Amino acid sequence: MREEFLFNSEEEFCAKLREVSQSGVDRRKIRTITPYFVYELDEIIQAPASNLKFFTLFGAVLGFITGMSLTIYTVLSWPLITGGKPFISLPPFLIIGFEMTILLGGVTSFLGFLLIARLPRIKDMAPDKEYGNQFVIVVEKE
Amino acid sequence: MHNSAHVLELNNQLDNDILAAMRKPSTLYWFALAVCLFVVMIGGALWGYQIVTGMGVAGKNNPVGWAMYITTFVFWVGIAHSGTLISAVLLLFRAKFRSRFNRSAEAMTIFAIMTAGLFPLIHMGRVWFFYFVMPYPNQRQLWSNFRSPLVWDVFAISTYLTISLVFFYVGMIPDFAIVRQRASGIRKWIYGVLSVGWRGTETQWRHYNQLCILLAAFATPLVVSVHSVVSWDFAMAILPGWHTTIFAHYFVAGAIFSGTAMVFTLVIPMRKIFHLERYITLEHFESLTKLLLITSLIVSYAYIVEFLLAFYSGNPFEKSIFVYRATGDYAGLFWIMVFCNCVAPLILFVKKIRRNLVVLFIVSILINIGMWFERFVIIVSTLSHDFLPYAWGLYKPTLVDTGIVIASFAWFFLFFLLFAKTLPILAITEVKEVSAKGEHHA
Amino acid sequence: MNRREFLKVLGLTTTATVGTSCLEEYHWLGNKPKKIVSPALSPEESVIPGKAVHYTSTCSECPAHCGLLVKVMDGNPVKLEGNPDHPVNHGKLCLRGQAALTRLYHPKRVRAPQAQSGGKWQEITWDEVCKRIAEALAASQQQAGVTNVYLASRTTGHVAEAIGMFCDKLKVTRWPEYEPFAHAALREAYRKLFGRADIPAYKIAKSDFLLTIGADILETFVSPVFYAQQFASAKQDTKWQWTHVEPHLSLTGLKATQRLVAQAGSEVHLLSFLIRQLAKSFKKNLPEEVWQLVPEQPLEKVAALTGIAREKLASLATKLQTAGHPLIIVGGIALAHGSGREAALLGALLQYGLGMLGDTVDFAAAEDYSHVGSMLDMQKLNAMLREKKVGVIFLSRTDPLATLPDSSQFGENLRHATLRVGLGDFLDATMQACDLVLPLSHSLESFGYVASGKHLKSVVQSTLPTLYQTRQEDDILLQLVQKAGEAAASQQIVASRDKAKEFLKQGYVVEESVSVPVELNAEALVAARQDWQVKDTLPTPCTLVAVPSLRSFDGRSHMLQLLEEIPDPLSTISYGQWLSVSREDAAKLKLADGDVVELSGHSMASSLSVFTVKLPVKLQPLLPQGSLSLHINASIFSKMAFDPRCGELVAVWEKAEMRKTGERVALPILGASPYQEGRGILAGSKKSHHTQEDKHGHDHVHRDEKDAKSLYPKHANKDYRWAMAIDLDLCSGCSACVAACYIENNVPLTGAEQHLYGREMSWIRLEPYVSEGGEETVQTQPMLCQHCESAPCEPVCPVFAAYHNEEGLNVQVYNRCVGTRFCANNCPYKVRRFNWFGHNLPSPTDKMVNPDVTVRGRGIMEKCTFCVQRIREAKEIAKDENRLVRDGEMVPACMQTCPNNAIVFGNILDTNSRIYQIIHAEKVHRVLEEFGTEPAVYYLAKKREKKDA
Repeated sequence: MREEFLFNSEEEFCAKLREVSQSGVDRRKIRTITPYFVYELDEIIQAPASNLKFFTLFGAVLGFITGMSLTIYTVLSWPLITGGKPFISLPPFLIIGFEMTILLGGVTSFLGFLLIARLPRIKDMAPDKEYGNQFVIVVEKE
Repeated sequence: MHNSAHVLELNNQLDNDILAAMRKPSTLYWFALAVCLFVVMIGGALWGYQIVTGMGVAGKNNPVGWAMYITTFVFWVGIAHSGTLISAVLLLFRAKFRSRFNRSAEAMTIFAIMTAGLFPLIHMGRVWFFYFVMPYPNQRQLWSNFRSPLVWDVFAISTYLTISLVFFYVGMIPDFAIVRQRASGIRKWIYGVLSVGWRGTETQWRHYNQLCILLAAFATPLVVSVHSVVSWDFAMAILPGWHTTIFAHYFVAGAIFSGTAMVFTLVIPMRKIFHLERYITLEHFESLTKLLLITSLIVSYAYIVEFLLAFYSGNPFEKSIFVYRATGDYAGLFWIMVFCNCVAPLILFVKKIRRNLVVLFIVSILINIGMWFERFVIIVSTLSHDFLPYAWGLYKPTLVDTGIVIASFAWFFLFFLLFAKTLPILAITEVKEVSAKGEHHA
Repeated sequence: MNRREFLKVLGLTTTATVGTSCLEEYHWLGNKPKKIVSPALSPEESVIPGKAVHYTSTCSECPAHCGLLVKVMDGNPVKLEGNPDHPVNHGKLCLRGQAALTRLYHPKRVRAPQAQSGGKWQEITWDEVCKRIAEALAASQQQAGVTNVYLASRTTGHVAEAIGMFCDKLKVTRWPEYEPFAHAALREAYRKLFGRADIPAYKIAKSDFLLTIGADILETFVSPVFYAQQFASAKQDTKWQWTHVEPHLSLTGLKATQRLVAQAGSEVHLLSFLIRQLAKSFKKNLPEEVWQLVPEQPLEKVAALTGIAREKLASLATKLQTAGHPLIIVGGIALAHGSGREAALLGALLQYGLGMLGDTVDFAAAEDYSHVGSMLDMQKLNAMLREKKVGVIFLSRTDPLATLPDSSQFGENLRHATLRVGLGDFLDATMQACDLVLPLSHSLESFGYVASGKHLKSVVQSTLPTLYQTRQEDDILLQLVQKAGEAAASQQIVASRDKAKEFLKQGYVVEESVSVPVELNAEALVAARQDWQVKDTLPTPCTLVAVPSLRSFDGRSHMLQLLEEIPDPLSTISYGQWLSVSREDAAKLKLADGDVVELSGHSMASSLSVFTVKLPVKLQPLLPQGSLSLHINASIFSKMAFDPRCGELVAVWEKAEMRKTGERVALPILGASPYQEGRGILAGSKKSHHTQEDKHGHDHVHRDEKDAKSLYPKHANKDYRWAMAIDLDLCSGCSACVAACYIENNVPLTGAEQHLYGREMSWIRLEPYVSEGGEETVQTQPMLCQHCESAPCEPVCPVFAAYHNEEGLNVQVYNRCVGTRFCANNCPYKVRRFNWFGHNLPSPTDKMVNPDVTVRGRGIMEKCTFCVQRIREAKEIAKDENRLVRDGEMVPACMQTCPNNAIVFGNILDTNSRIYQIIHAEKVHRVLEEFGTEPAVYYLAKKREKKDA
């Protein structure tokens, strides 16, 4: 049993949503579908902050370590002198470390996003019902 | 309070207007596509000829080992900059006019990197061994040299391409869902897959929003680092006119400058062709023009600082190279550069001109030309006039390298044409969001 | 069987073959070019794959006859080096000597005997050749008043004997030999005065003061490597002084302690002045009539006539007077004008008067020019040809059509001979005009000996089987002699050649020379008064001098591309002909490099002979104002006249006028600028910026590693750290090192078109720079990879293709290179070379490839390796003997050949090595060292000349 409310505008949608969430309905039972991100939404339903940043942190740290260990390992596996510089030349290696931080941080964030947003969803790729530019509130009921 | 049906109407109209660009192409479009494809094929043939015959068919020589290819490489990397800048930096700053430019700017970024990335390959003497530059595990423990700025380039450019692609794609996911709704047949299926089943639930939006912020936070230093790394291709060398600490910021500013100019070059005709006047207004242009103006001033400042540093240093090599730039064999190009990059943009101080799209378009073209010549002057004048007077020498372009450079533009526009017909050319959801907000607060 | 025995067997079997038959298939080592060595004659063990064998031989590229060690690998000669013991060159070779190898493998060599009929060439057999010549000889002997003529270039040794025998037996007139640069005036002077038409050995090393007037002793004069070696040893004595007098600018002049510019043609006044000034200190008394030839002239007048400042003239006389062993050499351009004969006579007189004969001028070791004629002989021959008095004419190794003036119409007249037989290796102008062309074997394919001096014989040894159906000259003559049934003569020819077997291993033999006291024939000198020609007029405002080129000499080397590829060291032009113009004259006409001018002038031989030519100009710093100079080539030869009194070619034109045509020619000028622009590139030059000089104002050089300031700790060297020192005081810019490097390292030739693009491939080049501060001079500075300790090229390579090895070498790994060219951009010395194209090696030049050095393909960066292949070899030998490489064992190709001993190479970790001693004892300079590159190439500063009093 589910209840579905459709709105044409953001204001009506927000008003209704406020009403529903204040009426004591469990936050987890309310689902919304909006054509764009509505700022008030998080505030109204008091959703927890996204955990995506931990993926990002993990990816970034992993990237930095990968970058630094790749450069240091490779230069030690066959030490070749160039330009009289020391084998472990940290300044240039930091650049690689930095780029790897960004690369893995960014890619992990994206993958993390897919994971925690439960995407991709095969059945929603061609959903039975599309809402277009309408704002939708779905309240699940036992 | 607006009529809620009117809002829906407006948003539907917006979908229609923007997605109208994806309708069946006109003859003119096919013609433009065919021309681009033809020029790209000529460029490919020239490259093939160069590979088979040798680098010598391009006009480089002993002192001037880098010329048009690296110039064009830096040019395209520079173009690639404003995409991420407009997307990421302006996102972080919550600049509203961003939503009108970010899609085309991001697309431009991707295509510009794809173009730029070809040039290190094209300029390589033995391109068939290009993979030597990559660090790949091998039996002999022979890796690439991480002290070389060229390897930094490999990392910076590939990271930039990857992150930009992710950013571009992530930005399009909600739009794909809209396209999916309106498409039919195989297209519906393709856009459905591309939309990864996006519905716009609050969980999706929450994580999505976080992702966009995080990616923007990464992309912003990345933008700075990528063009810094590209500038270090020069600044890490010991050559006069290259070896200077101002190069990184100077190049980044220059890149944003040229990239923004290219956005104008692309968006002004696009707006006209796809009738997007309602969505990309003169106000939006004016905001972006200010960015153009400020970066032009930074670039002019960098030019002046370069000269001052050279003369203040007392280093005869530095002095000589700057005198040479302004008065030597390539002086004509130098003054074209000064005119296009420093003088012409000054008219943007006039508000009327900032809102005059014809003038803006012309200025943007001039800046594109000027920035190409800037890189050419930096690269070629330094190489042709460095330390030992005996070894000085001039670069003379040939048909092959000129052809390949021209073909790179065709290659870029080819992708942009394809983009215009296959992907939503404006960030629909964002425009909706901003206009909803804008209407609120207006 | 050792090498020596093998060669004995080789010689014996050869003799046997020659003596018994004259088969068509005959040759020393069999006639199959594809085979490395004919198995019938060569024991298996004599060729070890990959192992170099050295054979003694003699260079045939010019009349100096330097001794060679020919490096043969896998059956192919791959490198020529000087024979270290040879008295002429002491192990050194000039650039033409180095390039002689490319003549052997030249793709355009004539490969088989050919006959011309109706303008078409047809290959014929050697038997056919013999038959046709024999018939023609017989036919012309029937005709009265017709002579058969044998004209060759300067020939010595067994070939000379063979020619003598042949001419004698077959009634052929052996014409005086033709050399375009025959030193006719000089030899005529010595003949008149001392009865010796030879060129004495000038003992520079024995002298304490050397005065050279016109003689370009370090470039083309008689025996340049011999003189360069002596110059190098004389220079060891810091008190040794050398004054050079010339009307233009030469490399030789730049090396002299003092270079004086004298108006062309005025040398005779200078010599008269010196004779008068030094008369009191003459060791010999001269008859009174002689003094009438040398009029007493006031100093002012001499100064005005010659253009040399008065005080310089006076000090020159003083220097000669005070010198214990003075030496005067008058030659080259100083004799190539209207008063050249007089200058030669006065020069010889001065040599006699100051007692140089037997001291620094040695006739006992004279160059053998006894068979050489002059232009006068050619004039006679030309007249005979015109009058149809010549039957069969043999033209051997000579190209008179390219070197005689057009006005002689020699080509026209040659047609009147009944049969023209050309012997040579290329279809040059003269060979084209012949009926029969007989291809000669290269000297590396021949056996016998040459005798540069009468006392000195040098072996000519065949180092490979003939590549084609060529024969050596005496074999051809031998066959003809045998055909004529002169068995005894043929035996003698063979016997003469076989003398060489006695000194095969050493490569040469010095015979006891009888020193004949030379007496002055004063009557002859007085008799010369009759046609004494000395102009007493002031010089014309502009004179043109044509001088032989270091690179092509008299044109005989012009087909060797390597010599065109290497730029002229002063103008830095590689391909093509140009006119050197002084900066002042160029400014007058607003000329820039490459502007074409129309030039006219009046020959000093006869004012009737007007010279006109259209040439692009090159501005030459230090070239005196009013002096134009160019290198002699075929087009200049065709316009030259000669002195009818002595047959000397006249190479000076007066009243020269230039007219700007407005046309421009792209000249391959490899050196963009000869000016240092305050950059302190040359050792000893001032730098305009403060950072390079320490507080004492001296050049600051970190000689020891501990002195070098760096953020980073030094990488340790293992056993060796290779370094090079180049003494700029000795480097004359002769470019021998460049040629040696090209051949040793398989450096590709790229051609004129690529040179215009700036794509030469030389690993070592000579950069001529105008000195800054002090008296203006031009110094050539060899520039090669500096093997920097902190090399800027290395860290920028993305793939480690450029890295530093533990012996201090900057290594380039060709296989790893992907061709980003970043290293070349970042090299402050611009010594890295990129292979813009693949370089094909047309057969048979592929055989010349040094198998120890990789041939680089397109898209790869390359550069000087300090001859790493030689380092490897030296280290392998040392390793077998369980020791380190000793000092002097490792010699790179450039150092090996340097005629001036300017280059020293070695290991600076060895404190006893020469290189260590030099860089710690002398004032050394490293180019652009302020950039902290720590180069391993040290330049020894050119010692500042004392200002002339």
